[in-house]
Amino acid sequence: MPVHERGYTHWNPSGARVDPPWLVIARRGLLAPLKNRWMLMLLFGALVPAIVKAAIVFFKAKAGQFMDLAVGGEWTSVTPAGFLSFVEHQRFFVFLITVIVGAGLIARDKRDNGLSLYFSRPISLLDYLGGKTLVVLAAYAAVTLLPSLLLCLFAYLVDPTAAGLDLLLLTPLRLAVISIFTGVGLSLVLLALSSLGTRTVLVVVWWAVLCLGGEAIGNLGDGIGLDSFQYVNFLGHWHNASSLLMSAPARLPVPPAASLLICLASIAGSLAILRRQIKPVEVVV
Amino acid sequence: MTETIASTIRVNRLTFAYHREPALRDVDFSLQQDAVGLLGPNGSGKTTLLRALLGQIDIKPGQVHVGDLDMARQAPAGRRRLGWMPERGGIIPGHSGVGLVAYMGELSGMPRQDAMQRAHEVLHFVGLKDERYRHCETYSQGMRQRLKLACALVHDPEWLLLDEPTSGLDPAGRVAMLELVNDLAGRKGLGVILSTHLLADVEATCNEILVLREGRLLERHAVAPGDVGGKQVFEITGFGGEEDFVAALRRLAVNVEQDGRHITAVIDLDTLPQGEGAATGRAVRAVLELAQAHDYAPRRLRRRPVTLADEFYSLVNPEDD
Repeated sequence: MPVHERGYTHWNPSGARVDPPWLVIARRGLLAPLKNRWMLMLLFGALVPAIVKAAIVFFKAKAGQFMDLAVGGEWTSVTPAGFLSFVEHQRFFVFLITVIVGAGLIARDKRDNGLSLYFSRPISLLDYLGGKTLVVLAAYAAVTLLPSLLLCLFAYLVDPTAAGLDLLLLTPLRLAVISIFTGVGLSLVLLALSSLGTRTVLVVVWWAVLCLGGEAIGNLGDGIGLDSFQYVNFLGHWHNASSLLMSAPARLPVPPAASLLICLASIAGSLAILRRQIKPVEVVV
Repeated sequence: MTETIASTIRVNRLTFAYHREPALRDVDFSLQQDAVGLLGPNGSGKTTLLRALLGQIDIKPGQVHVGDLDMARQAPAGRRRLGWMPERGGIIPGHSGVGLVAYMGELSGMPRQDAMQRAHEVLHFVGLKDERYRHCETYSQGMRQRLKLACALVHDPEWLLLDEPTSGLDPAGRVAMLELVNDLAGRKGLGVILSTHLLADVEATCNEILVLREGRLLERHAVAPGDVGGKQVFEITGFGGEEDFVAALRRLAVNVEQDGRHITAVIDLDTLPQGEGAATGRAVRAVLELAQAHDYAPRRLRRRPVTLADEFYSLVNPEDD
């Protein structure tokens, strides 16, 4: 019988595998921006620095000392510090992509009364937050961890003697740990900002103030000889804390342990905000 | 054929407050799978009660059970048995109709393919088969209401919790929506809790009503249109000593309202003194005698059966207590 003549019928489960709710939320959250042409262009654009670094790594392997003289510096090296420097220099793409993907994740749900819809389903706060965090984390990893891992593999294939198995084992592991730590931390802070209101544009403004404004103030402090201004360099703290694991010099004139504490405090504060803000309450507009 | 296993909803001594402002006070009831209307004025606690049923608020003190599941501890499992259609929102932009319904199905614990297949089925059922691929933010109000019903139905719940389902619909859309609700409750065996201000919607779809006022469950009774006990409404218009007449009428009637020269009195025929003739005739005579005794000259006297609206008004209007 055609379906339109059957009327309402009860569901007959097929017994197929059921995806956990956080995965369902994350999948939807990731697929939506990938349908945007500009977003795809931005993601490819974020790979350009990796291609440049790969070219330098290639020519260094072939030209040796001469290439070191031409394009020396930490950014081009295949040491853990070099990869941390690479991740650090991706910060503009990190800012752009995380804000495009994450700014409206909760704000839009609040604006459209989506929270009451989500929490009328058999999901917990952890499922909801886990799914949303995974969306931003994946976007972050796409412009930092993914090109870094590809670069590790490329550098090993080009010159296996340069850094040995470290390039295949230890460095990728360290990169994964710092990327997940930084990615989760930034995701939670961005989601906490997103949960504070219903307007995405305000989240973009706050995120810009936090990421770009913090760095600008820190650099201004450097310019006038006041290192303490770097304490407001929000993104810098994550890279500075990562330097502990990557055996790299501190990225800021702030002790890396202090940066780590600031990062952990940001995560704790964000979780407290999210716990308070995410409630299935209808917003009467 | 009804295949659903009958499940009950039990609410025991439920109390809830928003920032010390009581929203529910000692609410206590039990429902078998049936069509139940939830009535009450604004702020009476209807939506809070629905949220408590969904386990969206802190259920303490009190208990809410959906079937054998305690919603304070097993809310996610309990929500599998409930389909929620909110009054406001309820649509996540950026999805096609079928995409949104399938998404809700997946979130409700359905496998991906099942959710998509079922989304097509329920969209056919609610009459959105031709619009299912359109982005849901382009839907009209009527289509949005149908889409929300489809989202509530996709995982085949045992109970549907509908918050103002006919809100914003034109008359034709309203009739169509009520027919769907009637079909679900009457022929498909789903339990329905219909929270609404439109009494006609309750009369058209429900077998029982719960009346809430100021967070308390005031009354619960069966819906039988046109036959609410032995009560009759007398609408009187006239001139003269209105104040004395109304005061005297209050001693005879269950409820009296005065709007200028227009007086409406609800008289319970079962409580009239015994006498000659039919009870209705005795009631008319009693009203006319009172009018004569208080120098009130009726120009028009009209009698009609009590509707749910009369009952509801008298129940929830505190001034008439």
